[in-house]
Amino acid sequence: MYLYNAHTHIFTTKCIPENFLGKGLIRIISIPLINKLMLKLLRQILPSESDFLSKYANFLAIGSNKNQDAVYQDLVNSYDDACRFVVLTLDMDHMGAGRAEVNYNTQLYEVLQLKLKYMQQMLPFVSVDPRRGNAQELLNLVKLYIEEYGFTGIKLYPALGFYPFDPNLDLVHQYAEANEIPLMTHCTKAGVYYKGDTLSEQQIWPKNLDGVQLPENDHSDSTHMKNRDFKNFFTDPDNYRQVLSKYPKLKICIAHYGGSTEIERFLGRGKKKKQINELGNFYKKTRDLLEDTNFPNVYTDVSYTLAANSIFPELIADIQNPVLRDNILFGTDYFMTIIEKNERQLVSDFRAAIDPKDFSQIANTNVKSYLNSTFFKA
Amino acid sequence: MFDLPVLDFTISIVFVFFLFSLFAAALLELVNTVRKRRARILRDALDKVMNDPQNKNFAELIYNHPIIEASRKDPDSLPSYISAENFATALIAVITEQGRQVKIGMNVTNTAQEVKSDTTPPGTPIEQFRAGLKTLEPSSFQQLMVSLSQFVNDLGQLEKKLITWYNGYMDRVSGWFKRKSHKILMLLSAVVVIGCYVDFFHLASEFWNNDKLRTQIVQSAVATVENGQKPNDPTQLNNIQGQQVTNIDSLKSEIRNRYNAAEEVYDDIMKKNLPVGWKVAGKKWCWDDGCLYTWESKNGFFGELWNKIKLFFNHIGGVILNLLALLISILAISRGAPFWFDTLNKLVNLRSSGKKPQVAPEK
Ligand SMILES: [Zn+2]
Repeated sequence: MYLYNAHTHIFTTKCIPENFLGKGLIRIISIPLINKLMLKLLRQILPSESDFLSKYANFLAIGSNKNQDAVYQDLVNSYDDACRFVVLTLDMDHMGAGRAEVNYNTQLYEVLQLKLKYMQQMLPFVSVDPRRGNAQELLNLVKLYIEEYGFTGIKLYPALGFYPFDPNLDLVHQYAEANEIPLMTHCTKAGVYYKGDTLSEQQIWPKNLDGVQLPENDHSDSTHMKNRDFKNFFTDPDNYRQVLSKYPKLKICIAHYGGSTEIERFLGRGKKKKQINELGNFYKKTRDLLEDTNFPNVYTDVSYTLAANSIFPELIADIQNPVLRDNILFGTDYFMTIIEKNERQLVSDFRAAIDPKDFSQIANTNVKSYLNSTFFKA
Repeated sequence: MFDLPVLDFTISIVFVFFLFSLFAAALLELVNTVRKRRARILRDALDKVMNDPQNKNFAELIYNHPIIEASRKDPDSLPSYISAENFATALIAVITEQGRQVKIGMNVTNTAQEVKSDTTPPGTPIEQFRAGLKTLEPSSFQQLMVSLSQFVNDLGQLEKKLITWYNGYMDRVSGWFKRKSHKILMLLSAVVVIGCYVDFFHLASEFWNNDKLRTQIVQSAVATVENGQKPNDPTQLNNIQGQQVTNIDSLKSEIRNRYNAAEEVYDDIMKKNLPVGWKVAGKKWCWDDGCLYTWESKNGFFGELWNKIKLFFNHIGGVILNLLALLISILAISRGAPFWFDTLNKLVNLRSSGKKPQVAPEK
């Protein structure tokens, strides 16, 4: 019996566009010597491993690995069980941060080479961004990777500057629904986001929506917002209601279960942080989608969120809740989580808290039914 | 027959410039190694042409090709040199690979994924290359490849074209490297001149007035020319002196070597008792009514500051002259060690009449 990690990343700092952190900084952190010196230095001067900076250094050390293969091997080496890993690619070519040394095409090409190498173990998802091409071109890209190259699913990352109901994604959604192909979408108020200086009309509110019911109001009043706040409009879990109203059987994982901060907030425990763009509670919205019987194939995963031990009781209660039980997936969000804990620690802490039966439910049964499609049988 | 004090004077000055430019060069080598400048500019230059937004970053792909990968034993390092032949071989392989068609699907029992088919287009190697090239979206890199491969009949001819292109491009890259290096060298020369206080006017007056010192320096200069080799030019891209940095440990030892080399040059200079150093600065920045060089705290901070400002403007002519003396040294030293070696060589040969000018060994 395999253990499935439904949410991992293996891209390197070279895949990140040059203006994302500033070219200079990427250069510096990409110099392994500097990185290793920094790690050493940080480990010496910082009191404990739990300190943020030393974790940040760990993060950089993994991200600045020469290639995706090395990052992947680091992941695999963190597990003793027989595992399979969903590897999510990420199209960062359109996030308004310039070009990357490893652009998306190169990233995909490298992942395909890795798929050939780790045929059974690695389950890559192809990332689509509606700004890459028109609906047909995007469908062609997805079909190529799913039907020819054995990729298992489709990855969306709306925070990079688009809405999941963008008309260019329409054919992809239709195809995914018809073939039960899983979609994975990032859905928290944290994470990387669109860096461009201006918002296009499509970003303010998509036009030419064919058959998709949208609320009246667009976001033209909010264009003054900082990108980090505006991006929540892109990520809002309710956006998927528009997609699902047209494709109700669509198999989609609203990843991260809102994020641990939103769970804390929902429970009234979180820090009351002032937010301009609240848009409601993402945990609540995600859970509402899971509970909605009109959309039987909506999933969420515990990736990244499982780094917060404080919310284990609630997370586990949800996993044991019969309404939600079948639709929560195990995933870690490696290597984003390295900032919190190393992968081995992350998984062992979580497994120590959860009943093995529950764990097997989310790490095997659920992920398998999520991944199974016309073209793939887990 | 040219054994004139003027010639000896000139040789002395040139020799000092040569020595300090050697030191600056050693520091530039250190900077080059620490910053991995050669490896970085090579990669940047290839990215510039081959990081194709419509397609892939072919620079990344050729760097991961076994033939280039082999030149870096540690996966963390970038090669600081790629031969034109290896470049051509790797690029042809990478483009040809684009024509490869793989199909992955479930096996018949629907239990595991497998490679259903893995084919390369049929034909001669050049036809396979063209088939790979055909899969590329139109882009400036794709056009470059099309134009280079248009009228060739086989891979050998294509390889030659790629080699010519690469060499031509590398010439341009060397130009970029050189220009950037000169800027850094200028900065390092300033560090050397100020750090060792190399005052051109002071040097000149010492060499002019002190016959014993001049004779001694000229002897040393002659010995250097006769025994020495033309120094390497660290502003040249291709000057890698076999220092293939392959892993962290060898990079560390490489940096240590570079540091030791610079220190050695410095110690050599200091042994020669040249009229340089901060004792010179002490003389230069002091007048009858006070020193700009020292700070008398007994006057109180603002009192002393006022004294200094007065002193500065009273001797503005001297201040400007001192700065000019340093500036001349900086500009001279940043001309680089090979230039001063050649000049010194000519002058020394001129001095020893009848002796044929020695041809500096090319490296
Ligand atoms: Zn993620």
